[in-house]
Amino acid sequence: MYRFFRRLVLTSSLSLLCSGGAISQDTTPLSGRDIAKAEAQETAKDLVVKGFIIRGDSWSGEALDSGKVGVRHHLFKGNEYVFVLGGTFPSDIEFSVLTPNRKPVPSEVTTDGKTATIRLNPPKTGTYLIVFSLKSSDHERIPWALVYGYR
Amino acid sequence: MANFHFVLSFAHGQEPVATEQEEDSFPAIMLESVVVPLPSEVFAVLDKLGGGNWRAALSDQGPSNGRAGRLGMALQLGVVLAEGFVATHAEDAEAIEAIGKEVLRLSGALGLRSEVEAHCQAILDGASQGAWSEIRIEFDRAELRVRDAMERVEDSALAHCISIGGWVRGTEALATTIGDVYTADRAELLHQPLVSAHLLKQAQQIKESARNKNSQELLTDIVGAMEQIDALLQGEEASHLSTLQTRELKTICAQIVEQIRGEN
Repeated sequence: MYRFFRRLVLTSSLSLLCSGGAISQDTTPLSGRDIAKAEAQETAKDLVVKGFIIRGDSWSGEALDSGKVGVRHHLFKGNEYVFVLGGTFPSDIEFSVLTPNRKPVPSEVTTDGKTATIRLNPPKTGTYLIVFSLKSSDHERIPWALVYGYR
Repeated sequence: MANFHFVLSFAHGQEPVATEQEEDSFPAIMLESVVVPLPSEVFAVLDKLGGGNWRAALSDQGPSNGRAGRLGMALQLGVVLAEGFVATHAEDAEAIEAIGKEVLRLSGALGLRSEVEAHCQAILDGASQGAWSEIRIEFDRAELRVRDAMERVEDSALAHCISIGGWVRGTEALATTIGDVYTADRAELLHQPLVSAHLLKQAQQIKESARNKNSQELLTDIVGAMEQIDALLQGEEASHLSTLQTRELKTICAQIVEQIRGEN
């Protein structure tokens, strides 16, 4: 179904750039992702006292305004997971987790300006899709970072 | 007509990837990057499913004899860090102390001692106090700092080697413990096709770019073994490995670890 879904490595994308392909370079300032990660980690601190172990690893990038971003991640049934999304700018954040069959997983979402948090108990062990979007009235591109924890 | 957008994104310790959005077929930009679960993340679930004899899952913590250059040392460091999670779960202070020293030795050999020194000290302090939760966090931080430092000097192959070594040793310990007291629910934890495929791809890329003969030979062996692992873990029927498959997975992982440690 998703056979049109193609992924390119950086080298391929650069060659497309040279040939005039419709591709944008990663112009996100490093500080933009760092700010977004700091926002996410700050929110995640509150979860540590609730027994969550927050991973040092994270994802980050730059999203188009209102454009959905998907991250595949392996979750283990029996753990409770929390994902915290941080953005560089205040924005309306939509956040959900889908099963391998693309069905929404029951979850609890809270948002707070630059960050959003989603908590869930995966119904079975497997690869899930974390999907989010950030909507901003002032910015076309929004640096973001995603951290996660479990307990 | 499909409308494409491209955005570059990163996962920590991963190479940047460009991903493509085709709005007509799937309404999201997908990241190719995969974050590898920590051994303790999986062990925690196993504890809820009856636990295991983590002391029995511990292996030798002595210095390894690997001779495959920097790639080999990075693989060893990944194995040792994963051993640290096993020792922490076993609450074995003596093993943790030995592992902390080995982490320092390997990091020093890779020129990264200063990156992990504080974390290793915290691990040693935690072991003497029985602060197991803090030790798990410090092992995670130590691994992250080393991979981060490698990324900064644009040596992502070394960073990926740490992930590969860590995942293989963690999976070996998990398969050992699950094999001791097998249930289908426990075996489900071994089913990690996304991670397996991701690490196999990285191992293949590292093998292609390795220049050192010993590294090439080691990576060739590892890729061959990881192809066997990936074949085991892909597919619907792989969601609950049988006792036989669990044993097979353990054996393959153990062989990789032995090769990394220069024991065969």
